[in-house]
Amino acid sequence: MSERHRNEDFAHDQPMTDDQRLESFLDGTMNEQDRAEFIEAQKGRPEFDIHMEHQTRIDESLRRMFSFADASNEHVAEVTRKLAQRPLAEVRRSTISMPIAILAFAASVAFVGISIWWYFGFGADRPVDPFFQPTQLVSLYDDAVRRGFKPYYECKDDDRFAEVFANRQGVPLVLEDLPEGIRMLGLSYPGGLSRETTAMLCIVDGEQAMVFVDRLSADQPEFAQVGPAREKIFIHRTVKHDLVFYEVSHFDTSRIVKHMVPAKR
Amino acid sequence: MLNPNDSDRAEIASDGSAAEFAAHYRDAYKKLTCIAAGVLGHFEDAEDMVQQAVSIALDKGERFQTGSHFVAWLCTAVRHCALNHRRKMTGRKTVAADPVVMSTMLDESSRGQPLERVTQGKGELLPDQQSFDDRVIRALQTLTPDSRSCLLLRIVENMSYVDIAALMQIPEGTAMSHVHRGKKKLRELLHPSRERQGGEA
Repeated sequence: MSERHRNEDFAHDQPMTDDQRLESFLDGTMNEQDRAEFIEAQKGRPEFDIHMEHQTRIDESLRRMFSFADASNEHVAEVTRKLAQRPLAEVRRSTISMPIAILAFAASVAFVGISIWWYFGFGADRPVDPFFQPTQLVSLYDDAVRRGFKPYYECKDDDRFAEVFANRQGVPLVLEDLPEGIRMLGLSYPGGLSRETTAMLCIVDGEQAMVFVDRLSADQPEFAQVGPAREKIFIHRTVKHDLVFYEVSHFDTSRIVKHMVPAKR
Repeated sequence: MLNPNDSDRAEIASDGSAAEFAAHYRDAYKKLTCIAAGVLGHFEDAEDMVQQAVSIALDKGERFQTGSHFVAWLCTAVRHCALNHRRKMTGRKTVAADPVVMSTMLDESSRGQPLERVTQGKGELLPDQQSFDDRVIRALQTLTPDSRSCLLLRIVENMSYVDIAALMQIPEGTAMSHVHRGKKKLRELLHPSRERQGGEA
């Protein structure tokens, strides 16, 4: 690419003005073809010759006045010696400059101050999530039994039932018609895997059983363990549509979860 | 032509290649002087300005950034130094005379040779004092420091716009605009018709 085409004044898609063409010619940045065409076009125009002669005179004057001597040996030696005494590469490895260090320190102090203010001042009014700790599902089952195995919410409406799971687990659940011997008492929210774990209390063949439901992302199998001291307690794990189900009962097979079906919203 | 590996110059120098650095600095010296002259608007103090600026820059070497153009870095130092000098001189009411010139005048005067008058009785310059070079210098004062520097680098040092842009740390198009507009303005101010009319540049 010629220098002429890089000139922002002479955008390639815009035709050059006569002035720009003249400057480009006088500056020697025209390519050969443009130069020949320009000279041809200037034939018979005396002002062009005047421009040429005039510019040449100015250029000669500038070269005459500003033709500087070479650097003296003494000066070059002095500069070289200075550089050797204080190598730039070494200096560049030095620590952060003082202004930057001051700025960094000021920024750190400001950050700490704002953090304290936010935490104890502005942040003091913010809602704080209650403390939550996962609990062994077997313990929750035992607690429920000890308290009479009464649900928090006796749900008798299929839509309301589905809505509870939709709100808490993000997926509505439909409870199919239960076979004889299985009865759903209601729902509880005892925690367990997460704060949102939903539990369903059932009676299966006269025995108390619970199903804990939560998002699969909240699954913590280590809290679904049965200790060696416990007898006749089983936990069955099932996964359906990003939901995890833990059925806790005295039965060695899952009896309830297969009747809980995720529905489309 | 500037060396594309100028950014390595500091490392070369620090590694002990003093001769290589010296050669490179000699190449750059005239360009730096042109820039100083461009900022100052005249050539008298340009060389002193370069030597002073380079000395200061090397004393404060920590401001040199890794990967940057070493000569361009020196160029920046020269420009700043020359601008400071120009501001100082602009604020002064008098200008110090060159001691060499003063002593020469004194010697000639002591030898009984009458000093030549440079002005007529009414104060205007004699015809032979109105040289074209003086008019060029006066016309140069109407340009900006950057325009003068680019113009001198192009005309006196015959540098390409790529190199001028690298040295001055400005876009190539800007460097070219400075030169073209500067040339045009000088031609207008120094037009023969104005010369005949005795017009001031």
